[in-house]
Amino acid sequence: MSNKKKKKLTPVQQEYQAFQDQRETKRPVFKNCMKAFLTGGIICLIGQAIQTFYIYFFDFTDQTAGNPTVATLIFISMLFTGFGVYDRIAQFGGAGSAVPVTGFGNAVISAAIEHRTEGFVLGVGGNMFKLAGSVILFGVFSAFVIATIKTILITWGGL
Amino acid sequence: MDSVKNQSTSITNINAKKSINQTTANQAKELVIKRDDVTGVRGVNTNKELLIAIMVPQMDRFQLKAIEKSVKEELTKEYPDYKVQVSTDQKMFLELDILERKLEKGKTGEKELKKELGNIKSLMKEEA
Repeated sequence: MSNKKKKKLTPVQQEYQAFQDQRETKRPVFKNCMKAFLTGGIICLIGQAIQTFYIYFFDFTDQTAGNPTVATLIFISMLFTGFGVYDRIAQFGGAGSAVPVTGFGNAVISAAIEHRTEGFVLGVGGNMFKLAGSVILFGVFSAFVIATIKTILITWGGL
Repeated sequence: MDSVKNQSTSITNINAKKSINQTTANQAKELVIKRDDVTGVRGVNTNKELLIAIMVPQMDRFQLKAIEKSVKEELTKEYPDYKVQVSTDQKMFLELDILERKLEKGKTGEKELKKELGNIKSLMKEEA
């Protein structure tokens, strides 16, 4: 609560605020950060292993191996979401499981599962992209803007 | 098929051996490995081309493009007769490693070598 608001409170309220601050369980920020770091790191380690696998056993280079790796990771996270395992991982890892691309797969599938009872078209179809749709839209739109800037720079700026 | 043919006719055999002479690649490898920012080199040459793949240690990878360029310049200066291609790609390193081992066994003919090199080069051209 900001200082401005605090001044408006009555003495009793201020007293209560102090009491509450004392009793409130402190958030273990550092511990959470470490958990998120470890979880995200392990997910990325698995991703790196998949990428190396694609480079060694298929015709992918460092440049092109990224696409199948992302697809595989999203597929795995979708399976895990369906089986209810990803929820447990997310509870432990927090942002560490939401920031990598697996969190994106989880956002799509969990929304689809949640609205399954409302029917396949209006339920699953209409709600699947409620969470992840903005991510896709933002990605596509910013890619469009960057591509436009690049094209203008190359054709007119002579880069 | 080719290798069998090469073994049966002696003239083709000699020609094949001459054309897949790897001394240039070997010299180039020794030259490149002297650099501090290169930990591994694989390379193969034909009579016109020289393909080199280098491995760069972790912290030097920030200058990956610059290292690739400077190695290429160095090799082009050293071997002006060859069309030099340098790559830092892991896949290129791997493929050239396999090709080198095949050449060492002496089972690869000129045609096969050119075909393999063509495959590797077309792989490198692909973009994400």
